[in-house]
Amino acid sequence: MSGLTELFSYVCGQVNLWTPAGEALPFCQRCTGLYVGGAYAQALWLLFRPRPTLRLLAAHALLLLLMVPFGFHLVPQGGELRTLTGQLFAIGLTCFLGLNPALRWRPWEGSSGNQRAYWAALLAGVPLLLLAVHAESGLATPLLAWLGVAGLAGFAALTLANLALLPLLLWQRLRSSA
Amino acid sequence: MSQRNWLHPLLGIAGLVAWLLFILGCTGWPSWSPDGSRVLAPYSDPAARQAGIALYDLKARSARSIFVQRAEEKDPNPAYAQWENDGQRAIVAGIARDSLRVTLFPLDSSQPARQFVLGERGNDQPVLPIPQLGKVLYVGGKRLSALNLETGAQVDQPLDGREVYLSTDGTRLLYILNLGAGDAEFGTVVPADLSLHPLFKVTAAQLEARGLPGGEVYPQVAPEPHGSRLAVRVKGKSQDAIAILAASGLETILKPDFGVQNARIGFPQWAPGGKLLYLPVAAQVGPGKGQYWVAEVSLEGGPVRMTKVAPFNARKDWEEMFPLTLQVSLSPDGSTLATTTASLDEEFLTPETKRALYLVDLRDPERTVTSIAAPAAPNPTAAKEQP
Repeated sequence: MSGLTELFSYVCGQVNLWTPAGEALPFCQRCTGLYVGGAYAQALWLLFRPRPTLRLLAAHALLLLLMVPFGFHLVPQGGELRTLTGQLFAIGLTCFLGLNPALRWRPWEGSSGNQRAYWAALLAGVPLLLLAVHAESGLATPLLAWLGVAGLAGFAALTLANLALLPLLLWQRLRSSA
Repeated sequence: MSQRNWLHPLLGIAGLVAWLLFILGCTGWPSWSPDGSRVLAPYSDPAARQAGIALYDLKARSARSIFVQRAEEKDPNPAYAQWENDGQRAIVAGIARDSLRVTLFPLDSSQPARQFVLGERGNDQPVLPIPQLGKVLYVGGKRLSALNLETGAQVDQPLDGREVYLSTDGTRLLYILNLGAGDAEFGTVVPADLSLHPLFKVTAAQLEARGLPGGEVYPQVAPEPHGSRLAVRVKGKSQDAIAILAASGLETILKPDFGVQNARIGFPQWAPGGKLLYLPVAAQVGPGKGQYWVAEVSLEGGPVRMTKVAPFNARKDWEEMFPLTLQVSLSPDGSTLATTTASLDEEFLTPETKRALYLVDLRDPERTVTSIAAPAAPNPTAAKEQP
């Protein structure tokens, strides 16, 4: 676990930690939502491939913007709310970071009816994560820690994909506009 | 459609920026606003057989040793530190060869350090904060001593087998005397002649009547600043509690619900206004695993706010020693609580627990905790040792 603690020290301040069954997670309560919730959101995004309609993009933008009052501590909050807002942020972040890679892949072709299932599964994940951080099982911390690693790896991969694709996409848009 | 063509790349950039901002925010970019103060705290390094006092600069988030001592045994005697009343010098106190050595370190001038020796103290470790009234430091234990920090003059009085511990509310010098069988006497000390004037007693029977059978008052007393009440830790058989004492004696017993079983309490600290206490709290949360929190307990009841500080190894006898090492200290402006793990015994430390000063930001609704690592021990073998 100390290796994971060091890994997450580069992206997380590691204060206010959940300690399922007495063992501290290697990331803070909000990053628990972001990275563990991120792994879940990424899996659902791949599974259901929601079509990026304007309504869906607006909803995800709201989830990202929700972090402004909570991240800047304008709203009093406890550990559960920190994790919840991190998880909602992760959902929005997954959608936005997935847009450009998906322009190449177009995974939603031929799958227009999955949005309800996508939102339902996302909602189901919220209480699951809050239950997991309060679990008394000794498996909870390693499981959550490695899910967090998966979430971090997913966001890192999406970031790399964006950094690789964005210049190309912007060039294509400029050319088509001209 | 051309708008949609631009939308996805732009939203992708927005996502990247949002994650970057999140990481910067979480790793501490926007937050703590130091007030320019510094913190003194003890640390130990059993591996190097050293213990010392660190001066933490909250602006620079740095620490340096102002005092280091080395022992031939594995665990050197701890040193303790506090500020002189006017903030000009650090007072470092520690037991060596049956004497209490009190050393004054001028931190912002080139004046030499001054040391005073109070003899015949046995193994009496000082209980901090050592009360200071005017320029005189008063030390309790099995002897009662007054030390003038300017002149070095000492007045010393043996206590005939009794043991008193001292504190001050800024105007009075207060004592607690253990009477045995769980009873304790509280009173004032007359600074002129160091005579004791009892005020009231807190008995084991009183504690039992308040639901604390086998309760025992600990000799660390926190007087209410600008008030008349005292807060003391009561060690119970099944749980710890806080006794609030008024001028007439035991006023109330606080048995806070910390949300964890068998929590142990350290030395309490009053918040300004006298309606809230800050408590160091430790509990075993798993096999061999402990967690250290700072709790905020309202005297009017209500939920207890717990802020996690650090995990620790809950070895077999942790409940006996660990809570005694826990102290919190409130900054003069009431905005920050300081506590430290730097002086813990090696066996209490987990791989994740740093020897550090921990600062709890009380102005932050999230109670952000930041840490400043204790200074590395100077290499004692850099020069060839001579016997």
